[in-house]
Formats: sequence, structure tokens, C-alpha cells
Amino acid sequence: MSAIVSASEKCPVEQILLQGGRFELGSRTSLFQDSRPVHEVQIEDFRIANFETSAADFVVFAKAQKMDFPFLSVLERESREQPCRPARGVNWFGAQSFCQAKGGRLPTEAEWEYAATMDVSGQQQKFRWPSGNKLPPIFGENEISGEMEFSEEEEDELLEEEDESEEEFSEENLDDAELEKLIASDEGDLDDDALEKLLAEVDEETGTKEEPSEYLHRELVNVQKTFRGLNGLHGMLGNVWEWVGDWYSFYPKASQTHPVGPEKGFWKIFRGGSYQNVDLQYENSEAVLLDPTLRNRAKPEEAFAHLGFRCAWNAPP
Amino acid sequence: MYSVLFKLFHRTPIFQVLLSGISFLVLMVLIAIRLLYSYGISASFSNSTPHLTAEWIAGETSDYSKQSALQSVFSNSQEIESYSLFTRGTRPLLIEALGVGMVGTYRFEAPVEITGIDLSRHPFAIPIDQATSLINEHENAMTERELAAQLMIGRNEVVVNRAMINLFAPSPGKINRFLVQDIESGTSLSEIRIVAVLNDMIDTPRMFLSLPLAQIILEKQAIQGLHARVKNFDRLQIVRDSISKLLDSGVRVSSWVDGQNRQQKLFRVFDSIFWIIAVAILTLSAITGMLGIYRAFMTKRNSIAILLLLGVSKRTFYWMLASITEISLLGGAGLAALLFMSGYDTLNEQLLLSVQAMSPVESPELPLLPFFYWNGGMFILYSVLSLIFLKVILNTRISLK
Repeated sequence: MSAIVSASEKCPVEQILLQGGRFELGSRTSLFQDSRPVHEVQIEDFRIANFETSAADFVVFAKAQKMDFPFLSVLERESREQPCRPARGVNWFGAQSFCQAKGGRLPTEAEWEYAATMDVSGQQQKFRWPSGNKLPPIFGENEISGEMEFSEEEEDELLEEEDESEEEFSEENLDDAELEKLIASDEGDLDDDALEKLLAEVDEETGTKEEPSEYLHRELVNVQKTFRGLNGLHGMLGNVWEWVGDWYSFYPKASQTHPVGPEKGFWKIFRGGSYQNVDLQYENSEAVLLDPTLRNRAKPEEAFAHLGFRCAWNAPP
Repeated sequence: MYSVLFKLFHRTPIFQVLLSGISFLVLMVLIAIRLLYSYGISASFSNSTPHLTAEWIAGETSDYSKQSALQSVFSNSQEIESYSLFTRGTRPLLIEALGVGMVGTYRFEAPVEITGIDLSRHPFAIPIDQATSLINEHENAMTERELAAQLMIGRNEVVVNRAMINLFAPSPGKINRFLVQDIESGTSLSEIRIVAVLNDMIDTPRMFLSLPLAQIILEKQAIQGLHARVKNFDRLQIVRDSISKLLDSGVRVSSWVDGQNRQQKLFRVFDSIFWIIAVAILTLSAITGMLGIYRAFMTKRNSIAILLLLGVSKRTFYWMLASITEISLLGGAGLAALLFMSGYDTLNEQLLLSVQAMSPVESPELPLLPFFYWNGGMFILYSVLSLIFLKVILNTRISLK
């Protein structure tokens, strides 16, 4: 992990360095044929943001650039009320400009899939989902999803995180006023509204919500609270679709080295599915659009309310 | 001798270069537009439509063995990207709004062209990339793949065209449920959800939906044929011919090009206009060029007469002027090429914007080889015309001596 690249203190973003490697880009089982043919791709080292870009960060940039687009007013409101919601409704050009202003770029399609599906630190193995070979549980409906599969190191890491978060909310770490409030709530002195307010205050201070981040959510959530998957990256599945740098074209059969897509095209690609796709399932099956190998596309000037982005950076030489 | 002749016509090349340059530029633009329309845009339109359609000449069939035999030919071909069975029919329907958010109940009574497609395999023949998603329950438009997934997974999802949605009032910007009924008996056939509107230019109300749903609405189990997409659009006609040979004579295979009568007719009109304009420009330009030479000829007629008296032959005159003309034409072609290259991006953008306003076509690449051939052909034609006019002038004017 390295530099913090967020303008907002409430939703800091960090760059995760991913070691390059070879992997198979595409899927033999995807709903859409353009995820085939599966072909080998060599990826160079790169850095990628651990979270989707937040509304607060993007609004700061958009104002500085005097940008004007239909979704800006929504983002401005969200940046005040829920600053860590993902930036969305941003077209490809806006997303790319933001990343360039941060010294980076949008990830390439291959980098995105590599980051979402390859366990880079461990066995250099490709998983079906960023959660391993089982789809992450859906918030509030655990029975649909089954268990997640993580490597031992990842499990340790997750347990450590859980411990840390418990410590954060342990009595020793709370100041007196907060402790008094919590004790009061335990004693039933706080009514529901007051309790909700208290929780909201804690959320605001920590930039988080009480929901667990190993779940997929049916609603839009703060970028930190999105599902945490392989390589420490959050939200590679669900929340908002994410623009990548490449123009859309069919996959070649031959292996490639650090592909960046064609020079020209009509559609730009975006990946990862969104909160709106969680419930679109075959009977007794998984959410079909929440597939990290699935390629969605739109014209670069188009924007959707469930389409955001995250940035990537070249690894230093 | 040659230097004297050149001095007599020293202004002619400048005039010729400018004139032919402008003419060539106009021709290049026309050729580029023609090529872009005929190749790129045609191919782009084909992105979301079936490239090949195989139909039983005797009509639709419910015979499963026939359907399997038809499918197996396409599944065995290495050239086919995807294929799907389809059924089609026109039926007068009564469609009643059920959805929340519709003010009142709206009844729609009209014959609707219904196309049911096997949606188990993507890409399928519904041109969803030329469709506008209606607003879903999240108050959001769906992306292309979300729309495709909705159609593949949902049971009642349909795409209708603009002509059909315009008959519903008020304009349903949101996804809504409708009940489809038989117009005569009033029997309920099925519930549908209109998820997107196809931006086609066809006046007939059309509805695209899954094969099982179409079979329910059309009340028939028969299959009309098979839609297929080829991997390489440039090989469309070759694939069509090879597939036709493999199928029995009871199956007719038509290509996307055959199916686009409307566009083909438009293209033919454009092509005729192109030829008329091109020939007119060439002829007028060549005549104007020669008039320039003729003018020079007339103003210098005394000098020319002296030269002729001194023994300069008509042939020498002709070759001298022909050389000046040809070199000027080359200069004009170079000038036109420079101007064309500098303005090509703007031209392409403007052309595409006007087309993309109607339909989301891709940015087509200008096919360079045909472009060079066409321009080469035009240059040769222009040169030949100029030389013929020159010959005519010389033959008529030399006698004035």
C-alpha cells in the first residue's frame, strides 16, 4: 500500500501495488460470448485504488475544473450528506480526467480483471469472484450465497481487521462522552431516534456504517463499506460499475502483453456490476451480472447513475 | 522553342492547379462519404442485427428434427459467431396498462409485428444497442448488458419500437407492465414488461421478445427459421453461399444486406446522385480548364501564328499543352489531398454526428485501398477528358493561323 490520494479526509483512498503476472483473461462460462476466447495476458506491476472514487473527491475535482454535467447536482448533495458514496453519473472522459489529475489513469480492462480475480499475493491463482470461488453473501440474505473461500493469509488478514474494528469500538478507545452515551443507551435512557443519531455520528466520524463489508449490498453504500475482496480491494463487485480505459473490441485468440485495447472504438468498457444487479438471478442461482469477467459497454460520453470508476497508476520503475 | 511556348502559357498551370484542386477535393469528399456509407456504416448497422437468416420456403415448421438439422449446420460452421431460432407473426392485439404509475388505464389496439427469438445465446437478433432503456425500479436507465440480461432471464420482458410506444399515451418513460389480450375474444394471452424502445425507422408497431413468450402470444409453436451472426462481416456473402450449399433446397438463406431493403434503396439513391454529381464536376471542371487554355490561346494567337509559321508543329503544341495540363492536374490532386487530410476528422465527425443522431453506429474507418482506387480512377478520367478537350481546341483553333 502507498500514498493516500483522496482529497477527502473522510474517505481516504490508498494505492495498492499489485505484482504483475500472467493470467487468463476472459471466461468460458460468462453469460455473454464476448468474454471469450479466454487468452493469456501478461500484466506488468501496477497500482490501483483500494476503493471506488468517492463523490466528495470527484466533486472537489469537478468544481476545480468547472465541470458541468447532469449528475453533478446529485453528487454535490451526496458529497455534503454522504461524502463517501461512490462518484457516479460521470462519463468516461470525466473519469479519465480525474485519474490523470491524480497522476494516474483508469485501469486497463486486463488490469481490472487481474485485480478482481487473481490472488496476487498468494498462489497466483484466478478465482471466479473477488471473494474466491463463492459469490459474496448478499446483505440480509445469507442463505443465498453460501460461504466465501479465502486463502489462509487472507483469512488471517480479515480476522485481524475484525479485531481492529472491535478494538476501535471497545470502551478503552472511546472518549468519556461517547462512553457515557453508549452506557446511557445500554440503560435504555436513549430513545430510538437518539440512538440512531448517535450511530450516525459514529458513522460520520469513522466514515463507515455498521454493515459488514464482506457482504454485497442491494443499495448503494459508502465506498469503504463495499465488499472487500482479493488483494484488499473493495467494491470490485457490486455498488457501481467501473469504467476502464479500453475501447471495446472482441478478444483476440493470441496471448498479449499488457494490452490497452484498440486505439479507436465506439464503446468504452466498464466492469464489476452494480447494486442494481444483485437481484437479477437465474432461479436458485447467482447474480448473473455480478461477474468480474463480464464486459459491459457504453459510449464514452454516456453516464449512468450506477456507473463510477476507480483509478490506477503505473508502478514506479 | 519549349521555353517560348511555356512563356506563352505561363499562367495556365496556376489556374489549372486551383481549378483541378477544388474539383478533386469535392470528388474526394464524395468518394469518402460513399465509401463510409457503403462499408463502415453498413457494417455498423449490422452489429446488432442478424447477418444471415435461414427460413423454410414452405413456411414455418414445428418439426423438431428439421429445426435440429438447421441448427446443426450453423453450429458446425467455424464462420458463425452465434445463431438463434426465431418465429414471427403479425397479430392484432389489445394491450392494457397494468403498471403502477400509469395514470388510468390505456388500451392499445393495433396489429403488431411480433418477433420471438431464442434468447438463450447472446448476442441475439434483437438490436438492443439501438434501443433506449426505460427507467427501472431504481429510477435508472439500464445499460446494454443489463437490458440483455433482463431479456435473457426475465419471462415477460419485451422491446418495442418507436412506432409502437408512440401509440401509448402518456409516453411511458418507465418500465411498465401490460396485459396482452386477443382483440376479438378478449382472452388474456400474457403479461409483458416493456423494458426498452428500439430506435428504428419503421412505421409498423413491432415487438421483440423471447421465443416462448412469442409462441404464447402468437398462439403457435412453429419456428420460422434461424438468425445467425458471422464472425467476419466482410465474408458475409461467402459464408452465405457456403451455408446455402450445406442446407437442403427447402431452406432459403438471405443475408443482412438483402434484408435491409430500405437502406439499400437509400444507398442506391445516394449512389445515383453521387455518380451524377461526380460526372458533372469532372466534365465542368475539365471544360473550364480547357476554356482557360482556349482563352490563353486566343490572347496569344498572334504569337502562336508566328510560331506555327516558323515551323512548330501541331503535335508539339499539343504535347506541350498536354504536359502543362497533366502536371497541373497532379499539382491539383496533391493540393486536394492535403486539404482533404487536414479536414478529414471534421468531415468524419460531422457525418457521424448526423448519422448517430438517428442510430448508434460505430465510427467507421475509411477503407484506404478502395479510396485510393476510386481517386486514381477519377484522376485518370479527368486527365482523359482534359486531353480530349485539348485536342478538340487545337484542331479547331490552329486553322485560324
